[in-house]
This record gives sequence, structure tokens and C-alpha cells, in this order.
Amino acid sequence: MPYIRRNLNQFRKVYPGIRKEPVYENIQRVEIGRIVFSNSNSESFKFSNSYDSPPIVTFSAVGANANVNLYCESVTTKRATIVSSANFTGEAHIHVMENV
Amino acid sequence: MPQFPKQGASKKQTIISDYVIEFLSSSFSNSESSTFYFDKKHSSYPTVVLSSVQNSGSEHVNLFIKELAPFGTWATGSLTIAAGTSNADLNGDTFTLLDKDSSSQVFTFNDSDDVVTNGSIGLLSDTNIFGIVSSIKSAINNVTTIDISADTITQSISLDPTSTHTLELIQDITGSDGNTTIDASGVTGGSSQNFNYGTNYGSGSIESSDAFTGTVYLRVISQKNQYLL
Repeated sequence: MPYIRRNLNQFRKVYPGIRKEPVYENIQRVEIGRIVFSNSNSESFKFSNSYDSPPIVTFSAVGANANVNLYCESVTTKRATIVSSANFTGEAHIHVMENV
Repeated sequence: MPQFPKQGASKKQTIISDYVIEFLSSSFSNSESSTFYFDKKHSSYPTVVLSSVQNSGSEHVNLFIKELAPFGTWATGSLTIAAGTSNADLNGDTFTLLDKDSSSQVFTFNDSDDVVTNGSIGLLSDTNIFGIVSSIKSAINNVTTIDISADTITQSISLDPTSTHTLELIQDITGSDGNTTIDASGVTGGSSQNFNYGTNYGSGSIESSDAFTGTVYLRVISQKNQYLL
């Protein structure tokens, strides 16, 4: 009596009939960004990620006339506020890393 | 004021492989500025922060990133012919140009014709330094065996075609391999500046409020998916 068969070696990988979404474990949240200063001395950067505690924020002034001292006035779980020693026009590049 | 990425922008979850990350250093030697070169290709505009500063002295300086050019640059050099150099002086003299891929071309001056092809620099009709340098420029640009172009001619004395003239040379392809030498020692009245400033992935510069000696360490991160930034 005939029967239906197939050669499994013809298949590189056999996927299950129901595919599941991958489940990732987040080790550390990281994000980068830029904020623009336009003759100003205080700007905020709103985080895209959600943090359980205020993350570690590193930043530097970038621009032809960015000879200013930048410091972080406040960091919350949602945003960081960067303050400059004087008004300037340029950017602050920001690296944000979760405090784990 | 705007921030990038924009506030509230929908964003897919990123993982570490979505980023290009590199750690660079840049040295100051009793100077107020320093240059660093990217080692990796950044398809999007990178963010650069100073991660630490090692200062050999006690100077207190303020540092900032003055310029970022995250793309490969062409090496430039120059060839100079001094005032007072004649066609007869140059006849038979040679110099060699070497491009990024190590292809070379010998150029030979000839004061008996005006041919400016296949490496010949005909000077017969040239009556001053400007004419000589213009012939050099044509000869270089007519050669197809090397990827080098001759560009701007600069006079040491404005509107004086008998003054010293400098011809700018540019590698046609970006990259540090284009930083080759130009030997003009065999050219009477000639001098040269080697090809320089060619970079593979671009560069940036750091400025200091005062001169100091030390090393600045940088962390550079960009995202491969450019739309996110």
C-alpha cells in the first residue's frame, strides 16, 4: 500500500508550525543621542528607554564655539538636564547607560 | 530645543549589535588642539563623548569637540615650482606620483614640444612659471593610469605669473593609503609636500581652552539604523 513520505535531509531547518516571538533578557539598557543648544545654556534630553533608577549619563560639548563647561543639573528616570556655563550654539552628545 | 532621536518617537528595541562602538584616544603635546581618526565606518552621524583625560601636568583645561567629519577623506599634496625656473632648467627632469593603489606614473619635462599626455610635460609654448605649472596640471589630469587629480594653482605673489607657483594634488579615492610620497628632488627648482590627511573613515578634532600635554580618551557610538538618529 503506498504511503506519503519526505526526505528530511532536504530541509536545512524544520520550523515548528507555530512560531513564537523571541524573548530577550535585557542585560543593560543603552541609548545615545544629541541635543541642540541654540544660544542657550540649559537643555533636557528625554530618554527613550524606561529606567528603574536614574541612569549614568556621559556627555560632551560639540561645536566650533563650544568652549563651555557642561554639567548635568539633574538626572531622573525619564530625562537629563544639561546646563552650560554660558550660552552657546552647538550640540551635546550624550551616552546613557543603565546603572546595573 | 530639538533632541535626536526625537522625544516620543516610536522606536524599535535595539540591541548591542545595532550599534557601532569604538574607543579612541587623542594626544595633546603642549598644544590646544588634537585630531583623532575613526577606526570604524559610521553609517550614521556618531555621538562622541570624552570618557577620560590623562594629564601629565597640573593644568586645568576645558575640552570640547570642535569638529566631526565621519567620512573618508582624500589625501592632498602639492608640487611647487620656484620663481626663476626656466624651461631649459626643467628639460629632462622627472618626478613620480604614486596613487592609493600603489600605481605610479613618471612625468618627464620636455622643452621641445607641447605634448601633455602619457606622462610627458611639454613646455615649448610656456613663457612663465604659470605656463609651466599649467602644463604640469594638464599632464597629470590627462593620465588615466593613476587616480590622482591636479587641482588649484596658487601664486606666491598675486597676479604675478613669474612668481613661485604651487599646484594642489588630490588622490581621487579616499583613504589613508593615499598618503603617499611625492619626490620632487629630481626637478630643478621644484619642491613638494607629500600627500597627507587621507583617512579611511573620517576624523574629528578636540580643542582645549589652554595648551597642555596629555591624552584624551573618547567613546564613539553610532547606530547602524540611521533613521533612529
